[in-house]
Amino acid sequence: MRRLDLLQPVADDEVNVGVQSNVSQSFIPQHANLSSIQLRVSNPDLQGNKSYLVAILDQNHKLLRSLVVTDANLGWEAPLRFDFAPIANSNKQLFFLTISQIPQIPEASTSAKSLGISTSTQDLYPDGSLLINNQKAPGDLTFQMFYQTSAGEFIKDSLIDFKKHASADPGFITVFVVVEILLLWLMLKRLTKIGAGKRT
Amino acid sequence: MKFSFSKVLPASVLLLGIFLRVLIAPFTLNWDLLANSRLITEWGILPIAEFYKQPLAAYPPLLYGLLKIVLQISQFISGNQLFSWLSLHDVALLHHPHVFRLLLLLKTPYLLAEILTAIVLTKLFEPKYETRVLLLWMLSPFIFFTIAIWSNIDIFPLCALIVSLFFVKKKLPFAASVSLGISVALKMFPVFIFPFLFFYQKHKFQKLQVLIGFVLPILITHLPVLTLGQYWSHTITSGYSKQILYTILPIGPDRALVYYYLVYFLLLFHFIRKSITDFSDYLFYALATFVPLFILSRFNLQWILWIAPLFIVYQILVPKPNTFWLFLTLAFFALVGASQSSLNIGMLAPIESTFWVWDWPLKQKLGGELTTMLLNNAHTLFSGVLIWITYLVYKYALKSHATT
Repeated sequence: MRRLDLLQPVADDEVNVGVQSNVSQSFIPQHANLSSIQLRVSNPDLQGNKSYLVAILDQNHKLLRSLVVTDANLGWEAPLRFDFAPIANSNKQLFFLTISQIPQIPEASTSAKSLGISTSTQDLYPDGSLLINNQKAPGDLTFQMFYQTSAGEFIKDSLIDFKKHASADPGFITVFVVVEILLLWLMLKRLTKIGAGKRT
Repeated sequence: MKFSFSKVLPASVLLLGIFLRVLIAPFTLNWDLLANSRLITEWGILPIAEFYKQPLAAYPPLLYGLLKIVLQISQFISGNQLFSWLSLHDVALLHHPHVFRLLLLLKTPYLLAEILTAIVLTKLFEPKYETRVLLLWMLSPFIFFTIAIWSNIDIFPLCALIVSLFFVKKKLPFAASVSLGISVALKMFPVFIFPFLFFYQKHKFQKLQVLIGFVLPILITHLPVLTLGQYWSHTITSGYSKQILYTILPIGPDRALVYYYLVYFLLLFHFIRKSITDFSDYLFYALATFVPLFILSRFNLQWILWIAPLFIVYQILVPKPNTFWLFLTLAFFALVGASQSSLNIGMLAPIESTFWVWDWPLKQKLGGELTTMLLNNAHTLFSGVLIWITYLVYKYALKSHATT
């Protein structure tokens, strides 16, 4: 099963990937076994024949995983999902996600329209940066990252995170528990009265 | 000691129902609640023409006006954090430290309307059925799913509709027509019940009374949008209306019979011909009005709320109702389970946000063709058992005095 690890959900801007520009995002997964990344793309050249390389590099810029997609694989305002063999030691390590256009012979290219990748205008992912042509740029890519886990671990991690989340609002949890106990107590009291009535 | 429904006080049932709803409401979320609440925050801020340009603005002004007031009160109770929370992106909103309290706060008006509906519904039956009706409503998986979990906004017009039925029973036709008018002013759906109310009246004066009582609340609340084309196109000819009237029988070039209307008119003519005078019978026809919609259209799952009162009438009136009710429940929840994750496991997103970004795991696993086949089979079973249940209610309603 795959479970959500990192997320930058805001998509209020776009950057373009073309022959002259590649796009990267640095990120630090919070779990081992990073196995899937989802981006949001807008392909203005649905009948084009350009190819793009989506790659994950480690902190030394060594290629770890890659995927080649073509215009035919990319829709307009559609998700681009990249599933790959889990990276076992991904927990708290720095990685780079890069998207670049694969150079082609001129006659193979039918259009100069470049691929759009959704981003946020502001820096919303604090542990990483958006890079355009390897230069830091404002904003972050819009992404979802998942890690591979077993069903048992999925449930365990969910419950651990849920407990953490609930304990972040102790005021509500206290009132919630008190109200629920009160409702149960009132209900049982009523039922006991009925029972007593029947015996008499 | 043998357990008897009639020995359990209605208050205990209410408390049990409230306990279960409070237990589940803060930890479940459907996207509709967010979308509707975000939309309502803009009511009264945007000019009305601009408001109704938004694709999701498909309800009449009364509903948005009422819920804006409710939302303002909730905003005050939340210490002014509700609106800023609603403005966050979906998943960011799920990770907010106060998400559980804000969800409970946001759902409270829906739960209150639901409980009021349940209490009024009990008054439609003989007093000896009060506890049983309450128990059937409070523990109904359909109601629980559509309100406590889904927060279906239709509970407000449904509540007004049940109040209208109560007034019919109390022989207060004007009050009944005003309530029905309010229900229609909240959502167009129950408009189909009005002809039944009209022909239920025996005297011309009463007929005139109910006509005025019905039209007035609709007219008054629609004054700001009467000439707004955008509003009418959203509420009358929107995607949902097309969905309801999708099943047609082509009879010539550019001409077709709409199955829903065909069945509806037959039902209405049957009602008129029988000169119905008994409330049990009126109740059957009023609630059965929605049935063809569920058989002849790819209905939205949350609309099940509209026929949930019919299921309760079925469980009260028909002897040994459990087998068919079980089939009905299984068929409906098979439809839910086979649908995209936002309509089932996705609603647990406040507990595990991964569920929010799951698309349609079953479809990815089984493929589109098999998933569609599963949905078709579930819908067919649902339609079959719904027709059967409706027939049984008809058969028993006409000779029952359970509601008198």
